[in-house]
Formats: sequence, C-alpha cells, structure tokens
Amino acid sequence: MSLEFTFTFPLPNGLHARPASLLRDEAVRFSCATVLHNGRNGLHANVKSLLSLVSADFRLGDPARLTMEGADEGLALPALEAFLRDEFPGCDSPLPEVAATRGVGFVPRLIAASGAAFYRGRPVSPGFAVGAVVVADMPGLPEGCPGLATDAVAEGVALEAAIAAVTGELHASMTSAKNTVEREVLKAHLAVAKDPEFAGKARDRIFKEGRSAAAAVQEIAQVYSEILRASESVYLRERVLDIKDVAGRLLRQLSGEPIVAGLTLEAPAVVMATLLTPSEFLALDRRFLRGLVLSEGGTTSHTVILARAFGIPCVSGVKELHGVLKPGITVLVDARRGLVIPEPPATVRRYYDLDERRYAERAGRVAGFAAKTGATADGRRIEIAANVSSAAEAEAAFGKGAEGIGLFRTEMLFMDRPAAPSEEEQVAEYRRAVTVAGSRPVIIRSLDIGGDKPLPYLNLPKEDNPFLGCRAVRFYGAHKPMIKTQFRAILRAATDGNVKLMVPMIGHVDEVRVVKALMEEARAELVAEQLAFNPDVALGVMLEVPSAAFAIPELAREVSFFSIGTNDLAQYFFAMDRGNPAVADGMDPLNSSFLRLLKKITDDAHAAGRPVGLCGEIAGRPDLAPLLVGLGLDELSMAAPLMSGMKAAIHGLKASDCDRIVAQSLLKPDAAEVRALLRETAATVSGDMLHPELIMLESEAASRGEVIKELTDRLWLAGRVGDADVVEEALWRREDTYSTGMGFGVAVPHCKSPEVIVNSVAVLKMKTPIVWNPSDSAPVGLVILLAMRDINGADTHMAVFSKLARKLMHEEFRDRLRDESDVKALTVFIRESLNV
Amino acid sequence: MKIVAVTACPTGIAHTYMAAEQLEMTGKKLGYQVKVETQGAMGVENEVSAADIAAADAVIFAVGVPVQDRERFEGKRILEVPVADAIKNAPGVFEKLKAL
Repeated sequence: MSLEFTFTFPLPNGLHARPASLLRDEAVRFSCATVLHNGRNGLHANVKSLLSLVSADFRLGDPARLTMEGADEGLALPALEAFLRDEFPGCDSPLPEVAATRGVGFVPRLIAASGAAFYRGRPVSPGFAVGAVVVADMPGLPEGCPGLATDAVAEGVALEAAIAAVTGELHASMTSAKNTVEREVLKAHLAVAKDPEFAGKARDRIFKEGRSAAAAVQEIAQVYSEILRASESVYLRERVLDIKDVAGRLLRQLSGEPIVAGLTLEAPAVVMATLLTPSEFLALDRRFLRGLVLSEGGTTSHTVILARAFGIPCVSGVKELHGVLKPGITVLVDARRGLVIPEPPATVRRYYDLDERRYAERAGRVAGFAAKTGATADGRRIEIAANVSSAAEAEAAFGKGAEGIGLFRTEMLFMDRPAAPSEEEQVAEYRRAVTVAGSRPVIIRSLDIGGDKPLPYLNLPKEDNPFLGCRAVRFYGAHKPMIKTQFRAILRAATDGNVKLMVPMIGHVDEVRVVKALMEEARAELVAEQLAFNPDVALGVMLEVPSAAFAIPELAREVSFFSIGTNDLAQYFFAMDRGNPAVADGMDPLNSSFLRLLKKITDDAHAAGRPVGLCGEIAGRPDLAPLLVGLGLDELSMAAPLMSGMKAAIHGLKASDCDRIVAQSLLKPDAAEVRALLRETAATVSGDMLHPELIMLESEAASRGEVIKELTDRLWLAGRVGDADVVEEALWRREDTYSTGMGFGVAVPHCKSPEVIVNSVAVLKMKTPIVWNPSDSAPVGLVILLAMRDINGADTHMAVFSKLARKLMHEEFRDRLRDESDVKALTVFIRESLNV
Repeated sequence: MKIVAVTACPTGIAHTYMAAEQLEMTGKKLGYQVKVETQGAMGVENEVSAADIAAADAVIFAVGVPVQDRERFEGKRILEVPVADAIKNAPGVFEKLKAL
C-alpha cells in the first residue's frame, strides 16, 4: 500500500539546495520511503536525498506528486501535506541579484584603438584590478590516487571517514563564520556532504565496480554536475559549484592533498577559473587577491556574492579565455565596464591610471563629508543616519559617520533559527549597538514579519495576499508573549542610550493603543522583576500604510516621532507590487501624486510638533536630495555606504532653492516633468559655465585620447556630466568627422550629449605640446573643451560658446590664454572677454 | 568686392562661429566687404537678405553639413569649402574665390 498527494510546485527559483533541505528535514522524521515525481520531465526523487531532490529539476508550476510507502505512511501524509501547503511556498527568500552596472560592454576609444586584445564579460562585483594570472581549474583525480582498488572494504571505510571529516570541518566553519552569506553557503555544502544518495552511489561504485573511494567521489560528483548543468534553471546550474566544492573537500581528505594546491597567492593576483567554488574563494589569500575572472558563474552564484561582500572585483561569463590567460602573465580586469585585457599595453595602463585617479579623487572628496553633520549650505539641519540589520553593522555605520541609526531592522535576529531569540540574546545585541551610539539616537524597529517573511516556528497561516495580510503590527496581538519579550529587551537595552522604538505597518491609531498597552505591561513586569530599564524610550510610527498618512494628528497625540518607509508606502499607494517587474516601473516616487503625499505627511507632522524622517531607498539618492530637503524631512536614513555622498549632495544645496523646487514639483502633472525640473535646476544652480576647477595646467597627457579623458573626468568630478564614458564617446564622434585642431597650436574638442548636466567650458594646457591629429600643421598645447546639453532650442549659454569660438580666432586672445599661468587670473580673463 | 558667406558644422557649437569670425577678419584685411550668415546651434544668425545676395559678387559656403535654404543663392558664383579650411587657411579660400 502507498499514499500520495499532488500539488503544483510553488517556488520561483526552482527546487534548489535550501528549500530542498527543508523538505528533506520534514521527510526524514518518518521511516516510510518518500518519492517526489515531476510530471513535467518524468524525473523522480528520493525526498530524503538532497541531491536527488535537486536533480529532479523542479520549476515553478511543475505538476508534482508525492508518494509515501511504509509503516508510518499514515502519519507522514498529513504532516508533509501541511508542510508543503503552509510553509514550503514561503521558505525560499531569493538570493540578492547583482544588478548589472551601467555602461556594460562599453569599450573606450583609447582601448579599442590600442590594438590590445580584450574580452567582454559581466561586471558582477565592481572595481578595477591588475595582477598576475593564477589559474584555478576543476579538481581532477589527485595524483597518487588510483582509479581502481583491490580492497573494497578499506575503500568503503576510507569513504565514510572522509565524509565524517568533511562534515565535521563544515560544522566547525559554520560555527566560526561571521558573514551570513558565508554561513548559508556552508549550510548548502553540509547538505551535500551528508546526502544519503551521494554516499550511497559512491558506495555502489566501490563495492560493485571496484573503484577507489577517490575515483568514486570524483565520478559521482561529475554525474551530478552534469545533471545540474543540463538544468534549465540558471540557479541550479550554479549549484554545480556546491557539488564541486564538497567533492574537492572529500578528495583532499582521501588523498591528503590540499584542494587548491595551485592557488597559493604570493603576489598581486587575478584568479581565473571556469567556476570557482565558495571555499576555494575563501581559501584564497585576500592580501594578494586583486580580482576574479570566471568564464561561467552568473550573478547569483555564492562565489559572486562573496566577492561583492569582500569587495573583490569580478567579471563573469567571459568566454574564450582558456589558453589566453596563461599563468603568470599580467591581466587587467575592468569590473565596471566588464572588460578583461591580457598583457595590457602602456596606453591602456595609462588610460586606467587616469580612470582610477578619478574614482580615488571622488572617494577622497566624498570621504571629507563623512565626519560632517548633515546640513545645507545655508544651514538647514538634516540628520544623516544608517539603516542596519545587526549590531555589527551599526558599529560599522558609526565608523562611516552615521549621526544615528534611523532603522535597526530586527528580523535577522529572528530568522534562520528553530525558535525566537531569548530576551537576554536580544538585550545583548541591541545594547551593543546602543553602546557604540553613545548619545546618538538608535531607532529600533519592532518585528516586521508576516506572510511575506514567515518564521517557521510561528506557524503563521498561509494567506492569499500576504502583503495585505497579517504582517508586522497586525500579528502582534496573536503573538503577545514574543513581542512583549522584544519590547522588554529594547527597554532594558536602552538604559545607557538614546533608544527609540518604532512600530511598522501602523495604519490606524487603535493599533498604536494596543502597542502602548503591551509596552505598559512590559514596563510593569520589569518593575516587578526589579530589572533595570529606561522607562522613557520614545515611541514612533513607521509610515508605510497610506491610511496612516491621513491620521497624523491623532497619531501624533500618541507617539513622538515618525519615519516614512517609502518602499512599502509607494507599493500600497500605487497598488503595485514592488517585486513584480511587470508593474514595478510604474511606481515612480517622482510622481507628483506621491510627492504630494510626502508633503502632506511632513506638513501634518510638523504642525503637530513631531519630527519626521525617511528610511526608504530614496533617502540615499543624491539626485533627489533637493526634493528630500525641500520636503522638510528632519532625518534621512540609508545604507551606510551612501551616507557620505548624501551629505556631500546636501551640503551643496540651499534650503530656499529646495523649498521652491518642491513647491514647483507638486504642480507638475507627471514624474517626467519633475525629473526634467530637477535636471534643469541642477544645470542652473551650478551656475557658471567656467569654474576655476575646470582649468588644468601642466597636463602630462600624452595623446589626444588622454586629453579628452582628463577633461571629461574633470567635468565628471565636478558633477557636470553623468556618465563620463558616454560624453567621452560623444567627443570622439565629433573628432571622427574632422579634427577639432584649429591650427595655431589650439584644439577645441566639443560635443552635445544628454549626459551633459551643466553646459561647461574646460581648459587644459599641456606641459609638452602633442600631435592632435596628423593632419594638423602644429602640435597642440592649449585645449578648450565645450560640452553642451542636448536640448532643443537656443540656450543662453550657447551665445557664450559662440562668442568664445569667435574669440579664439584672435591671436591676442590665444596668446593671453597661453601665457597666463594663474588659474584665477585665467578664469577672470576668460569671463571678462565673454562678458559672463 | 562684396561677398556673402554661410558657415555651418555638424554640432554647430564651435566651427560655425570660428569660421565666420575668420572669414570676416581676413576678408576685411584683404579689403572685401563680407557678410557671414551662421547656421549653428543658435539657429540662423546674421541672415543674408535677398538684397545682400543680389548685391554680392560671390558666395562662400564653409560648411560640413548641407546649407539651409540653399536655393536663395541660385545663379550666383559659389565656392564651397570644408569649414576647417576657412578656419585654418582663410587667405587661401579668398585666393580660390578670385580664381573662380
């Protein structure tokens, strides 16, 4: 007899290691044989084997049938059915996708013209690297390991010992792993190492086919790799890495050889591999690891995610590299544009020296703002705070100049574990952040969990529409003990600091009253238990439900601050799922309707005497800084790396201008016009076409290409152009028609481009004149660059451009430009000659 | 001698105006009466009128793009040169004009 039931496979990423291991954990509680059949491809899997499950290549929507056969099948059926219905569909949080960088595949002229060979790939971890090639290839059968063995029993024992050793090794690494990504990866590997089918098949090879343990491991790994590689899911294809990794560990145990023997790094290195496993990556000496080049491996592989976490530049999907990147040769990795250049010639090296100089210079300029307080040029204060998910992140954020923690998400503490964290554990975590903060505020958000982010130990009912269901504050009533414990922990952690408690998803004042009653209970208990706590923890509301935006006056009577969660607020306001790419583009926060909502919130909150911050993604966008300032927000909270750039942007603004821009934006009919207004403002607020910053003397540029690069980089650093590569290319396109060398040792490169934000004149004088174009009669020592916005109709600046062009035909004007060596005097002279 | 000219270049930011200035300067030096129309990013400026054209002995087009309203100049002696020639070697352009 057997029992069965059918269902439709519910996970968008297919059945990969993490959900498969949860399903397996459910099945192993019963002794009956459990098989999962895939009606689409005819494959079936032993549910107690992770590899078997993963190999069945389940995809979203596949017809699935689960059969159980054995003594306890009657118990297994309802349990597994309930698991698959209630928990399984929500158990897979997708790994973060690495967004493709702008300008992918763009090859700058100088590089294209250098004659250097270059290969394209996907820039998956941004940055730039130069180093000697170190090749890491698939592990073969280690030397000294024969394929066949005479003593099958001994081989069997060796296999069991190796599996036990690797399992122990992985457990130990998991305990010491600090990075959550790293821990996740190790968990997946552990599942492979403990997989019964993997071990079983390997044993079959040893006992039935006389293979050695090492050969059996290698062959089984190969078989599974091929099955996964043939999968239609990119995600599953990348899981080949996990198999390869575990096989490598087992082989090392069996042979005593280090798995990555060839990968000892002794000098700055770029590691090149078909695939690089996460443990191979982690085993690399990061003192010398400069970059990674992978011929496979997409954007979601664990290795790529680790590379990002450790800031190692990586280009993936680079084909045709084998035989080109020979060990030891120098290779240049441009993981911003997605280029790999073996043995780069001097011209290419020089190009990247310039490129790196601009990034270093910008980082230096922005870093100068880290220690400053957030304020506009005319003195309006706006606190710049960080969004964090752990105390460790909070510590790092204060190191980067956070003026507070505007959002401490507590979900991480509660996820990926069998039960909720204890009060003591929570107190320790919160207190760690509070201690680093000193007197700076720490806003801790109480648990924001629900149908979209389930916790296995809560048994939350499955909902058809979890975003509109029982999430965040709405489930507090049903889980009072857990929430009260969190409140107690927050009150206790607050003894030595400026702690505030923020409640998510409040839509109505009644919900606040329930929370306050619960807080009161928590206080009373702490008093009764004589535990130290801070009774004055301020209570605030996260504004993310539109109804709350229209209830500010009554909410303000109950709480002391607000913070706008624009990500959810926009989703609920526009009635668009932000995770659904088919509609997500429509929820543009620049829509004037949304801006009016934000303005109403800040006005109403201020009228009630309550401060209001913003902690959604738009808080970290410098291009929106005029709107954020003009809305009158008191605090902006964002990912820590964005803080300095935001401070820099705000320091460059006048609050009075921002107020005007917001007033105008509210009257615009759509997002496009608001965006146009912002650009227009950026163009006029930045003022002069010619600024002393745009004059470069004593340039050592060695070619026309380097001059163009230096000048566009200067415009980019001054915030006058968006994508410098695009402007550079526009200048080259103009050069293509005919040389802009005009004789007299002067060249006037120029362009019109939508990436020009502010019309600009830049001047560069050469230390040693260069040949601009072979057809020119004289070498060029003076270069005047004109960059113009691509807009229709005459522009007031255009008159200045034409005047300058005419002036350049006059020898006395040119002589003066050439002879004047003081930047200020030169600026004044040019301005006066042009009457600007 | 009366001369009318038109200057125009692909982006209309620089060469149009440089060529115009150079033709005016050099022409004056050589004793000609020169009027130059620019067709650039600012649109048409210093437009030559029908009367200017009628009175002109010759026409110079220093252009890298087609001249707008070219039919205005029908029946006139026209010298067309690349816009860069007018900038780098304006005297040479006037030499050619004389030889026309």
